[in-house]
Amino acid sequence: MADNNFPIRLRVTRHESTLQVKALIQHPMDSGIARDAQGRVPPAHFITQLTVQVNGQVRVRGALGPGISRNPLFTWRLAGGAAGDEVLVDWEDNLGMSGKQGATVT
Amino acid sequence: MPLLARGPLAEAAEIAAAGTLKTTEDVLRTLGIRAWQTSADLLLNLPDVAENGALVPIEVNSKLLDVRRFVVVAERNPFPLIADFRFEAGTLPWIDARIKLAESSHVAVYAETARGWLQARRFVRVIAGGCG
Repeated sequence: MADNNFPIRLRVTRHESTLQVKALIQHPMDSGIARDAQGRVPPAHFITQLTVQVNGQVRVRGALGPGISRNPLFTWRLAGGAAGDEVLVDWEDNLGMSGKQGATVT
Repeated sequence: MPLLARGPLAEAAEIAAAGTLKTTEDVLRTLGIRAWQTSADLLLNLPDVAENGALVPIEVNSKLLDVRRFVVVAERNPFPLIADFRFEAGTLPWIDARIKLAESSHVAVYAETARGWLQARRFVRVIAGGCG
């Protein structure tokens, strides 16, 4: 189930023979050992896996550690791509939360 | 975990557990990376100096067409495995992201190809550590 507290901003642009997929995910990516601004150590809370799909087919599969920055920003490049293609980015974190966002190629 | 339940995502979850391993050696052993060759065809773009270790831009890229996977390791982070990206057919071996570096460190990328693992490695000097 999507967690609306952590939205994804997804931008897909077509460049000649590639699709550029750029995703900004709102997520704390807490490692469980770093202190926050208040001097507390929040428990580990980070995205552990994500996928990029085009028309239901997985094109990128990522396993992440807590060393990805807060509010992760990723860019990928996929071969091909045509207007109407459906791009989907989804993620799951170590606490079982998840999120996803789709975009249609124009 | 029962064998039937093992799909690519279960595998990814297991690999993600590598995200909590504390040494580069453990990460490489867990992911089965035992030998590699340094390669100039593997491009690892990082700043030489990072003012803010919490937000270090990284780009990994290769012109080699048979690269199917990138494993990124920040060697001196408390949890060195940054990410393990697998690219299915039709995806260019290219990733742009932002990572945390707890202190000045070598960052390495290992690329899996049909001919084995390739590696590129760079040192980043960190002014203010972004505790990993």
